[in-house]
Amino acid sequence: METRKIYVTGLGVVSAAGIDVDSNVAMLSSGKTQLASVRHFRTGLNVPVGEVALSDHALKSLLEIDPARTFSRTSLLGIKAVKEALEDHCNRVGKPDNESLNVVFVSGTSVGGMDLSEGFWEENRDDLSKGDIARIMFHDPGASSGAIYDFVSRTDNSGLFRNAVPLSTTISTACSSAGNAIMLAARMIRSGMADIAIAGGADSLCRFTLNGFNSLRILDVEKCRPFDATRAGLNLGEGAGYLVLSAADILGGQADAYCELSGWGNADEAYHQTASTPEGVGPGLAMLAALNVSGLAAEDIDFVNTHGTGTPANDLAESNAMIRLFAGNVPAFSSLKPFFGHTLGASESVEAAMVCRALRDGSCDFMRQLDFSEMMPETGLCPYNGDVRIVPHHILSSAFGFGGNCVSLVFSAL
Amino acid sequence: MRQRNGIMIEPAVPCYVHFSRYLCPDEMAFSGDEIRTVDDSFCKALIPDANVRRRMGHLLRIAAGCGLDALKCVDSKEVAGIITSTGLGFMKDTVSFENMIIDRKEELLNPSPFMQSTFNTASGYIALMRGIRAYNTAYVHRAGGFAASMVDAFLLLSENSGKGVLVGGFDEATREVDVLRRRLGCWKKGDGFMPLGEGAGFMYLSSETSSVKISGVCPDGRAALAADSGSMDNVEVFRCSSYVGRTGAFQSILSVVVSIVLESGFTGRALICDDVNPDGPAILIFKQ
Repeated sequence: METRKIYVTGLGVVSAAGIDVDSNVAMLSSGKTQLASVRHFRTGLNVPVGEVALSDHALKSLLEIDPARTFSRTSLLGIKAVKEALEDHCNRVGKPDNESLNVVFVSGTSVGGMDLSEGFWEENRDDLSKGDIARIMFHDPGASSGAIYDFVSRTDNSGLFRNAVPLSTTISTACSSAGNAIMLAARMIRSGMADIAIAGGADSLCRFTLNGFNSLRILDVEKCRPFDATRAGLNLGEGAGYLVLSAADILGGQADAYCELSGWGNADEAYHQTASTPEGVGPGLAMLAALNVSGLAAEDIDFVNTHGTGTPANDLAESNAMIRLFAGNVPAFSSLKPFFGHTLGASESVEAAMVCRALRDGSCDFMRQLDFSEMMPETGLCPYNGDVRIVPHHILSSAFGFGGNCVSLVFSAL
Repeated sequence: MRQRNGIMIEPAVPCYVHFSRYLCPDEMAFSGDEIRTVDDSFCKALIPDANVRRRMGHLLRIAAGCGLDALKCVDSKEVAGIITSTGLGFMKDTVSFENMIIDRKEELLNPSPFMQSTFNTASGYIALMRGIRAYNTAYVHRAGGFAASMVDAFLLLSENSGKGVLVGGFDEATREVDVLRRRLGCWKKGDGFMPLGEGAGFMYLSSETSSVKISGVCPDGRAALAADSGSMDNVEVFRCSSYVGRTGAFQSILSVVVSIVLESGFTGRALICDDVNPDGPAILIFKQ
């Protein structure tokens, strides 16, 4: 059987840089960072973060949700991005006319509705018989994707969710969650189990997560500086990103897809719960696995969207993995974290959407990394600063999470 | 791989169970207070390093211990992936870190419970302790994570000829979960409630022949039960609700009950169905 090709036919993004794909691209192009102090929850920690500007109330109003109804912030961000992705898909491909198509929804998140649980807990932990119990219903990550699924199926005009199979699911592998969701969706399509997938992730920032990363002492009190010798940690963010993936064989000749999802790979570093090997063994294995699935050679990759968090350990590990994979000739690469922070379980999908736009637009200009000052002495690598024009053909994009979980994806221009 | 009758998802390559292990509450340990917990002292043999063990929370000991036990006779190089599912994950660590944030006013927090609160901690730990640098993932979709993890395992088996996959599920019972689930009306029985339980169940699967074959998984267990009365002949039905008296109710109950049924003297075709959770899946197996 001929290998099924998978096209990206719809994109939806919410991040600190904007509440849709176009505004994210415009903000990145302008070079402005959206990192600022925490506004949406109470904390004593004074570190820059990338919060989505809209409050929960404003998101509900935008989505025409009754403000009295309880929704986790993760699900609100997710609904916004999924709706955009479905509308985009319909504009590019048209509504599905074949009722027998199998559609799956695969969503990643690190903490789901922790924003609601932590508030409930603080107010009621001494007497759990008190308090609004609806807030605890969102504690498990499946509840947030369930809320996205339910809301979008009731309100969506695309006809896609009508065919969604009960196999739709939630993945939670910390910061690589959305990458794993996209990978599972791709494997389901390739195997013939699904024809269309809405895959990605959503994560809201909350006090639990911010304090968790702070307790690990990996937050920078200034703006993060990925791959810079002066880097001192990461800035957390929040957001949602979803890709509509379509089997190429179900698309008509008129379909206006962004690009092809040509490779994917997952590997576990098996080294430490929260740290990475300096040589980047796990990241290297994931990158190589993705390259192998794509059938491409390392030199075919002309741009890399890195995980590039800005922590001393991640950036060294990832650099070393790239140096090995590309046999010293590392292509242009950058990190989008200085723009909207590390969007946690959503990071791979938020950033993959930017990658898909770059392939579609035939330019990586808006992905350039500004304010770089000093190369790491260990590697001598310098991120892409926009000095040369790159027309990308194949972009490698990665995300690495706790538990040694590493995911890489390859997207190819059509 | 396609869905048969729109109900059962069948593996594209044969899927056999080679080892299965489970941990669930010992009936004798039932104290009558409606929460059933697992004795985790068994993990001493599997996780010999006392320092490592001490740092692991209760559920991590159970889950990682059970997974390591199912992998005991397997060469690490043969493992194509480690796939887990859980309903609520590491609740004790989550609550412990949240309490610390409040009590210490966000200052000088011990990161250990935060690190362990991550849902993929067990799959990562098993990989770490056995040095398995293969595919690794974690589903957290209430009871439905079981179906997704089986489908993922089917895909992995067809993508990695000659290799095997470790699949497992786990959850833990805490006093807080019990209070809150009663308020939410979860796991009701008549006018009262089923006891809250916990446990872990892991299987090592490969395409090499064994005495137990997995014929398919159904994300909608109720639909599978309905179909059973029609199209599926000679199938013995095992319902998770009949095991709740022993295991207690929890979201990953099917992972545990499958292992209990496999260990029993039963032979022939069996539909094991999670009728305890509203989104409970089902699995169809054949045992010789």
